[in-house]
Amino acid sequence: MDSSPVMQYYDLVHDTIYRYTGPVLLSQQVAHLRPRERLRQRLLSHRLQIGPRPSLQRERTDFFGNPVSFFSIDRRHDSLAVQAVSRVGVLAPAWPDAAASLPWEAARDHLRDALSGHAPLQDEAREAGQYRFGSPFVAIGPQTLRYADYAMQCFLPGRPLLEAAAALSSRIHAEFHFDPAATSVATPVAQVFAERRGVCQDFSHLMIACLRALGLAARYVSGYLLTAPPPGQPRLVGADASHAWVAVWCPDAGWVEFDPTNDMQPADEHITLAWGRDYGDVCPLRGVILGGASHAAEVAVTVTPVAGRDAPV
Amino acid sequence: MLSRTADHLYWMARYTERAENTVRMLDVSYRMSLLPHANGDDHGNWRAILDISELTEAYARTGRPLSARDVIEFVLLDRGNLSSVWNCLRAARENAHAVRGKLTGEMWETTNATWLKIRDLTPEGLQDMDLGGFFEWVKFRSHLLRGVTVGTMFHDDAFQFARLGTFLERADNTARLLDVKFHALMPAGEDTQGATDYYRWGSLLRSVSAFETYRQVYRDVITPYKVAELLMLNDAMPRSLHACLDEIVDILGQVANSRSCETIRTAGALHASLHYGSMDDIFAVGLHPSLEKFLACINTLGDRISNDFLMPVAHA
Amino acid sequence: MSITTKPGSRPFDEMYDASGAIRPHYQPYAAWLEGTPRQLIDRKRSEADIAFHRVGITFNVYGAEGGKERLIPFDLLPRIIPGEEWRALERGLAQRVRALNAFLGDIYHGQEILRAGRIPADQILNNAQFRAEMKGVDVPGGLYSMIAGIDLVRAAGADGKGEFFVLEDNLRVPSGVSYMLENRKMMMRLFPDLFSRYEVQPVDHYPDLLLETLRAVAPTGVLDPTVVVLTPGAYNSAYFEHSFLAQQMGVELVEGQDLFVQDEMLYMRTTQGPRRVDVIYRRLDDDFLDPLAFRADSMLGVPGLMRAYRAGHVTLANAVGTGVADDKSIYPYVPEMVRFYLGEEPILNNVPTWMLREADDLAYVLEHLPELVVKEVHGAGGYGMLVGPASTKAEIEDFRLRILAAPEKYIAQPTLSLSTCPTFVEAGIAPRHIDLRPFVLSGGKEIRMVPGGLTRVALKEGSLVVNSSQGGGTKDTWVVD
Repeated sequence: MDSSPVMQYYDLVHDTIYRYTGPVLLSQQVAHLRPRERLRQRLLSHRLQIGPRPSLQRERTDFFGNPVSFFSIDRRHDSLAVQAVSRVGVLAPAWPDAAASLPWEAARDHLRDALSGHAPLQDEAREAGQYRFGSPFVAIGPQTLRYADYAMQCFLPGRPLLEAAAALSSRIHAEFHFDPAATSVATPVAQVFAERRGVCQDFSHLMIACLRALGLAARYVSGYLLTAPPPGQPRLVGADASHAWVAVWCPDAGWVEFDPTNDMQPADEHITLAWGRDYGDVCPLRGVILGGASHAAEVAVTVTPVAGRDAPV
Repeated sequence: MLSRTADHLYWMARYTERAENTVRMLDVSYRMSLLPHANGDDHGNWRAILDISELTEAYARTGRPLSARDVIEFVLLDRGNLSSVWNCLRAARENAHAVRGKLTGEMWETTNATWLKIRDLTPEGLQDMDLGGFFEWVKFRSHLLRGVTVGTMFHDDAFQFARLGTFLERADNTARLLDVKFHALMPAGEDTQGATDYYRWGSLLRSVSAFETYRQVYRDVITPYKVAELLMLNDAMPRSLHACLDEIVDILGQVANSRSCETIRTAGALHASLHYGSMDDIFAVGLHPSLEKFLACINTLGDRISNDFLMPVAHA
Repeated sequence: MSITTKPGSRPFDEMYDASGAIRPHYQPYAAWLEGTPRQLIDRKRSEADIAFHRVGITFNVYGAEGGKERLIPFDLLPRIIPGEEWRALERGLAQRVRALNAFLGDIYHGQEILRAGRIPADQILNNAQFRAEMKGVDVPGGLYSMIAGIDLVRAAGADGKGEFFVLEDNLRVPSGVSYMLENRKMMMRLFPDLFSRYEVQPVDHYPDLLLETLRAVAPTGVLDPTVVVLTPGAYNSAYFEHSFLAQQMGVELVEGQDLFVQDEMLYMRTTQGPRRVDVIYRRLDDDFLDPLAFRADSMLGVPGLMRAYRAGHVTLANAVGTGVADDKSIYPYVPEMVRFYLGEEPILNNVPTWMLREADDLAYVLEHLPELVVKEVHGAGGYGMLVGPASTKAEIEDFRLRILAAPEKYIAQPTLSLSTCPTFVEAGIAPRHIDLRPFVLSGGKEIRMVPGGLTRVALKEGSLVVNSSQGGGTKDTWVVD
């Protein structure tokens, strides 16, 4: 059928370079740089190149199901270069009809009842429950009621969950200013909320905080965007680095994704790397070094479509 | 044994020994300052104290005058001077505290009590004290800790590392004392064999508890040549460089591990240079260059001991 | 369940029955006390103080000025438990710890108890002590809490008989065992003649049992495991105990900086080069164990330790993530765990508990605050709690606001009239409230414990708070036959 979606193929190159002002004697790193396979995403090839060469490298799956690499370098070095090269195929998802989704209160109550122990618990709800509560970067408690207040303008009584979530994503996009200088990886959600500016990671954390404050399950998805847009289309924001967006759990439709930074639902130009409760679970590269004094990091990402005869059939 | 444990014991001993040698040195300067001024250079005397411990610059930054009282205060009690006796005894106690479980009760109580006594001592308090008596007290606390260590501690590796700290520090301190004092008392070109200022050289000998020994060994007037010989080459003189190296070589042999060969070789070579050395050869090269070379070698040895045993950085 | 909650009702006394007669197991002691001049006892008391100071059995009090070291007061009058009573407790403790370990294994694997709806999933998922990192990790023998400290109290039933309740499970790094051992040593030294009147069951083999337990949970295939005790360092409040246990077991006391991981193996740095470590008795909280896995700013831990652990090359005792089972929010479900995993009825009772997350419970508790004890779910050490009957109106109102702000953070229990035991005080001998912490060791197939445990005593008259950080003392605990 002509209308059936076609898989899009991409080459990804994710470079990270750390330059240290003093020698590093021992470095141990954990990387989330291997794109996760999912129903609508295939990983065709992947290579992780590390310089200097690690003395030990291991792959495993983390507790959210993401592939994760560990490596350590026990030789003296002044810089660390990590390059992840991957080829993936992405299929545009058919997102469910938002207007037909459950009223958001029903989704909230479903989750609450499932997790409150008054009845046997279904696996799907148990899995979703992991993303329902506070996490290190998105604390949930009495102090987060204002996120619920903020979201309530979109989450009108009886409104279908997915429609309300889309409205929230639009509202964040409209009211928050994209400003890479405003925040760092450690900026708390409260500050982003107060100053109305940040980057994709901040907007995603904020949207997750809003959804969880309402009693819904929401997770953080990290990934990439196509770097150069197809002719005639605008370039999407956040395309030179890792990108992040949000998935919300809907009892009848499963996980549905929203990108508040670009006010859209991811299609076949969003490539998934990993997901977790927040940035901390899927940080592309984190580690502990011995020595090194201070360091400067450079990150560069390129995503190019694979076309013509290079594309796998 | 754990490297960290060895490290703490080694530094406990080093800091205690450093405190002792610092007051020995202060004591000799203090005594000399009480003598009628032969050349009237009291400042030079106190500057030499600072030179020995490489403290001249740090002292200049405090803006204090080069007076006896100020220098003594600075070297004994100054909180900001990391080599002050006060800081040495604090560091000794902190190292002991960190490995308290490995010390005998007597060792811990000795170190702790020493610290508690000096902890609250202020410059004002110092002025009310008999300085000579205070110097004696510091020396005796150090003797006491060394004594209870030898007399109560199980003679295993832990013991050896504490001893290693003592002798490495002592070798360093004796060499510095000799270097600076020799220079101050012995203007260039003078005959090292000739008789000289009895009182000043006598004070130097007393500062390392060697006055009676000198008499016993040489039965002669005090000459710079023989003073240097006693403090460098005489292996029966407990504070001499040779005696210290005897101990160091012996201890390194006992604690040797798979990576310490080069360290043992370094110590052995240094030991041989003293064991088979002669004062004529040393003076031919020059005392100062010889002692500088010795100090550099002790420094290297300290680094090597750290890397091999105490703070191994790289893995297996 | 019948628990005295009425103010003014008489607590159960360990030595005297309701009519004021001395209970049989205290009679030889009472006779001895009668024949011993008070001055002698006073002299022994100051002897004990001096000896404890000399050994350095002190602990740092949180919040105290300059982290001062303080002696935990030791009371010379022993707490005596008849052998038969102890054996019943022992069965109950073993059962409870078995169920708690089964729960931990389940919660980090299949989560059957959640699927069955026996414990609300949000109690686990919304719990900072639940360590997702432990999901699917297999631990030797399926054991998580090899060293457990279970806090028991005795309250008077309506019939005047005392009944034991579990007040709290301590499954992370329970402390206090060194006091149990030192107290016994001290009593035998001060009053050797007393021990000839009783057959007091010995406790001094605890370090041997502990070492056997730790060796029994070594990674598979390790025949002669190297065990170490991991301490946060000399400034930790329980450092004395860490160094005491290491010394008693004859193993190294290490800090994070002494250890390193290479090729998923754990080594310690020694003067003879790196040496493999197989089992860590760690006295360091989860958060600080491995900066790569948990708090990146931890200087106390060992980078890569979690990987060595996950690979099965080193055993941590206790395991990571045991806190999810001793949290006050999980406590109410422990009897349910016994039924679910063991198919048995619990031998030891829980204290009835209101969970303020439930609307009905909340309403009841808010109405009865002056009678109840309210505890913060994640609090420990007697901090963050309200003892209704001992609080002023203002304190109660203040606490009410805290509860209303986040009811799910609190549980409430009736104010138990903890049993009392005669205790030496300024004015002579007077009853003081006590509790009991037995230490339960699980290694291999067996669950073992030394008879008794640590008895803590609230030295202030009428006080129910026995924590040493809040002015509590300790007593020697005798199990006698």
